Amino acid sequence: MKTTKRYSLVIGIFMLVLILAACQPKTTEIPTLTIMTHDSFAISSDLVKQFEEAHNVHLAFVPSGDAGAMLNRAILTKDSPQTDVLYGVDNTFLSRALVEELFIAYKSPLLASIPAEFKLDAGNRSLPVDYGDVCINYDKAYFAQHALAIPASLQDLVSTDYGKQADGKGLLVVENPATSSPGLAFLLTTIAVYGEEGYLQFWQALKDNGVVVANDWNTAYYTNFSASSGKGAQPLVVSYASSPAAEVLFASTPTTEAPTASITAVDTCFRQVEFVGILKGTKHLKLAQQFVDFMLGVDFQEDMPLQMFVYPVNQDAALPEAFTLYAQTAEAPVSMDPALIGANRERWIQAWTEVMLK
Amino acid sequence: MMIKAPAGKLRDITRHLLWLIPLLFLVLFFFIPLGKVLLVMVSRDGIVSVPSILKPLGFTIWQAALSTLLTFIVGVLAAYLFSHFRFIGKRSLRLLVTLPFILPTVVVAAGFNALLGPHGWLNLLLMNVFNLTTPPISILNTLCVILLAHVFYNTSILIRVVGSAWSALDVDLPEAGAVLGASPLQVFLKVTLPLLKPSLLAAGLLVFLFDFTSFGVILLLGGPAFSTLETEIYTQTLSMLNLRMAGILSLVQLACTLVVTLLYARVNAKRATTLKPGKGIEPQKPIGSTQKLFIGLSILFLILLFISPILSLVIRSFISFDAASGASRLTVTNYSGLFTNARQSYFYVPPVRAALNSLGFAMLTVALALLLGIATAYAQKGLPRIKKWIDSVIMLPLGTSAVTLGLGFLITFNKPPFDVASFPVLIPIAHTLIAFPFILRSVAPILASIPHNLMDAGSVLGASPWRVWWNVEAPIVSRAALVGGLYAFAISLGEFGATSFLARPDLPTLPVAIYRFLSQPGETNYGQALAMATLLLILCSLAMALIERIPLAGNREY
Amino acid sequence: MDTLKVTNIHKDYDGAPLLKGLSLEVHSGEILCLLGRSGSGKSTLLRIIAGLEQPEEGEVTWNGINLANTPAHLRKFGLMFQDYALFPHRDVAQNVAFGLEMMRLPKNKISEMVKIALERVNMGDFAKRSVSELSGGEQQRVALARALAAQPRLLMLDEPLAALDRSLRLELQQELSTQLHQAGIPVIYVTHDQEEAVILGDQLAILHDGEIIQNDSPRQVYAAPANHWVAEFLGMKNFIQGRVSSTSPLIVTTPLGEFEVNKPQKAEINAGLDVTLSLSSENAEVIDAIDSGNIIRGTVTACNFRENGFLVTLDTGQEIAMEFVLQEAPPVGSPITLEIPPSSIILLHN
Repeated sequence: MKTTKRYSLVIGIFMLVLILAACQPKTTEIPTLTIMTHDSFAISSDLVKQFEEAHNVHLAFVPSGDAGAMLNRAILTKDSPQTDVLYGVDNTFLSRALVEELFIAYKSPLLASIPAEFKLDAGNRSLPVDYGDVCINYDKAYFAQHALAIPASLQDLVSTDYGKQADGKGLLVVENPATSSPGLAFLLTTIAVYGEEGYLQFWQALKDNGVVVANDWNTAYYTNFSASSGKGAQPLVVSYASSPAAEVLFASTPTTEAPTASITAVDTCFRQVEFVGILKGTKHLKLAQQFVDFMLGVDFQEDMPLQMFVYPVNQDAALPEAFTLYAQTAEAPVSMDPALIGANRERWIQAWTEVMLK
Repeated sequence: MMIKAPAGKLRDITRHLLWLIPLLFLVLFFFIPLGKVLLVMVSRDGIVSVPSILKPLGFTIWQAALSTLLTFIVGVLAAYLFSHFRFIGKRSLRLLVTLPFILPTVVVAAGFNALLGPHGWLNLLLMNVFNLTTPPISILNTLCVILLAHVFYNTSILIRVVGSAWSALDVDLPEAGAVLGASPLQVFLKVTLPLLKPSLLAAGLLVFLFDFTSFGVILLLGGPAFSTLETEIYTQTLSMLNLRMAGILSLVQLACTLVVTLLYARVNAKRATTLKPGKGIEPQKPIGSTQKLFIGLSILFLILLFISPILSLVIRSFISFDAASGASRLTVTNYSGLFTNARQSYFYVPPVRAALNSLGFAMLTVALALLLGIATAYAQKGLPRIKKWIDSVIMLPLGTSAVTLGLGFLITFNKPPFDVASFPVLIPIAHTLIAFPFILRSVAPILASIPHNLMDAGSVLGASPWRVWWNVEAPIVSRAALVGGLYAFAISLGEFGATSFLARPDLPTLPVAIYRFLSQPGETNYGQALAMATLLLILCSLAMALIERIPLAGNREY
Repeated sequence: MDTLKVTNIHKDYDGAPLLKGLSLEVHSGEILCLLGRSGSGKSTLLRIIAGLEQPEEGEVTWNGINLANTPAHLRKFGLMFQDYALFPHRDVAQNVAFGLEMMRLPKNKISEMVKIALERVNMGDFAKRSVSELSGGEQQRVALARALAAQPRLLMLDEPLAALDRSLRLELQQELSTQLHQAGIPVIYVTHDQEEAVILGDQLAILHDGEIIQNDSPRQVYAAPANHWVAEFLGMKNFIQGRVSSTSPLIVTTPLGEFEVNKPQKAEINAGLDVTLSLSSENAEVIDAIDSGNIIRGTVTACNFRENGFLVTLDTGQEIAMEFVLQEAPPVGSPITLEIPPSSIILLHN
């Protein structure tokens, strides 16, 4: 009984300490600006400090799952939002976000430095912050070894060169558009290229050719892709144009050659743009506007690539060396009217599911 | 006519008041958030198609039933092994078998891939040995791997719940059966199984509900070809933004859970086994070659099933793969890398901090879950008629969609002072919703079977009710509570359920950190994710080993 | 006529020898009471006979056939456990039916036989009761009914009455004796209570230090206990050391005087043999002080009422205290002289 008592005492004290540590008292008089983001958001601590000091504010970030989860959360709490700024809505969700009337319009002066192609919301309720191209990545070593030509267009993908191997599976792995953002982006690419009448035939051809479908990027990249650490079976994967740069930066031994590259030919990639918006009901409008300016400003824009592996929209921002060397941008990526996406997204995913998974 | 003594009346009042604790908890943290979010979801516009409900429903029930059956086969075998025999490494093996429970599915997927993937070790081994050109085992993305992963995750529940009941079984009873002419098989079927029925049912219920709402396994290991209620809710909510459909699917899921738990309560006859404390099976060293062979093969099987995927990912965390040269080498850079914030990211998760946070939440969860679970078990004792309904209600969180419940939390606990920012205890509370049914399921059958005269004997000998409880019941109950407590701990560490919606960046935890790493390409990201997962495993093993060693009077080793 | 024979059983427990070459025999219609202290291995022996444990050495035979290769469930030996081991998941009738179900008898036959078995132990009304509701005595009866219903060839009972209170025990002892004799099969009855053994047993086997040191009818055992240990175990008291001074008549010289003893039937007594005498209260008479043989002199140190007389403790002055049950209560502190007839003195070998 003695030892039990001792144990319980120790555990009790330990727990108390942890609880007390967790319940940090709410600081002081300086206001807090709360920014809701998706889970992939990243920023240098120096920049955070810089903004906090410059504007005498405390920044609180609320990572809220992937883009869809975050949007849901924003929608469901829009009558009493506890956050001031929402970052991470992309062009596939944009029209939905706008329909829900979540944002307050703000014409930031920095919009002048951003090319028109990114300003998908004329009303400036959602302002563009970054873009990334969803492209097919390929395993350089594999292609060299098998003396295969790299596909130059979507249509090439249905060639039997990339078709079923001995294990019955093809060389391409894509993600399920219902559960994955790059997966949806790739679906939209095919719709843009083949149109509503033709895209399903294309997918059927891909299916006949043994295309592998994974439920999320993680599985596709780390389990199926042959050039990743998971050493899978497929040398072609739908990923981001910046992924090869990440492979170099996060390589275990320093290297100057990326093991992968992206297919950036015309009409093979989808440009995903991410937006920021000030939420209705914010109590810190001025600060929120300053934060939006900050996100569109050069400092943040130059910090983004190495933190989030996305490209800056601000044309004055310079790209880091790793990006210029190893990452690629698409020549002429596909883009689609967000309103069109918003209106048909469900239907397209449904149709795709019928063909591919049933 | 017996006049109720004042002490008895006091006991009754206490019992009725005890009800308030779990009731309040559930109303505040389950019914209100769930009710709110379902109302909101169902009242929105959205297309609802009945076949899209029925198809996933059918598959969900099918895979859950099949998984539970397989888990039973492996679990009962292993429970027999652990309750009857002594062998080297027994304690460690039992602990290791419980570890899968805490692993996030992304990590399990990585482990399975490292072991069973096209370039996994098993395939490499087989290809080398048999000189094959293509990997012979292609198990990923099949129903097989779903079943395998479920068995992998849940067998430990069976082992612990059934194993502890088995070892407490009066050892005379199977012998009495044998002497009355029952062959060993007949003894098992007619004596042992019926006596184990309550624990088998309890374990079975837990496993089934887990498999029923299984998400990561279906989504990541099964792949797009498989669709369950849970994955459908996920897709409809987060991708299609069709909240109406998601709401209806959640209701269907809840209804099924209710049906299952009511069935369980019905089948679980009130005739509980009276345990004679101290008369259980004493684990023996195996004698004779048949027994030794059985033990050896069983241990080997368990190691292959449970330890090899974990071992694969642990080993992988110590390997650094150079894409350029294709060479691999052993290294600790994945671990050392964890402690550096290479890109000065604001969201960098220091491993020690994350570990402490995870531990802190876990201990809170255990405390809360124990309080609730034991209070409920006692409250239930005196109310047999509505016990059935109470049981079902308490099990509901286990059978509720994590997505829906998570959203429910979000919209209910949105404003200070009740939001996560000012009230981080919400996180262990969310864990407790899942954890406390575990404690209840472990403790309630034991409580129900304590012979009445044990308590009365204590009273008659002059002990006050409190003393009687402390000296007589508490030791018996504490062993069962320990088993439940271990699971509460594991559930919290692995962050089951709705907690992904409640994360706070200033209170990072290990699973959150692992997810962050795995959402970007790059060998160091992969390696560090696995390193962090290994840290999670070590942390959990140490904590569980410590918890198991807490000296309790009723702490019989089995 | 069936015979169970146990020959030279050796069994270890926790590394140390427990049974060291034990042998005994039981026949049809006979109740053998196995007497011994707790922990002496009585239960272990029963388990070996039942086939639940294997001995290190020795054999168990039934009508000459060695049972070493017959597993427990095929031996058809009944065993009543100390704690009754009733199946809690079955009611009373289902418990009794268990053995019959194992014999694959048809259902109606089983219920008939269960009814009879329960009536035999006066538990006919308890058929549907749950076993956890039964009192100790009721459980014991059900356990007996269950064991007998399965029609065993031999029945073993492991301290069946140990958990019951005294009056219930006495009542059940009679019942058991009748039931068991009626069954007509060999019975081994284990107990540590010598009174019970005498009431129930046709034969007494006394287990001490891993062996059977005496195996005889109760009468013989009490008349001529094998040694001092047995005598003490049987509850005999008032021991004096002495030496045989003459053989006919048999006279033993002790520090308390000379005593004439009846010659025991089987043993060879020679003069000069060191022996122990045990004096019993039967026919002890209080007399006036005289100086002759078979006399105990002393001072009364205590006098307590017992159900069959007064227990008088006296100090014989040689650091030997004795107890006798007398019909009158002598005053404490007074001198007392008792005459012990030779028939009340037991001669024990050392």
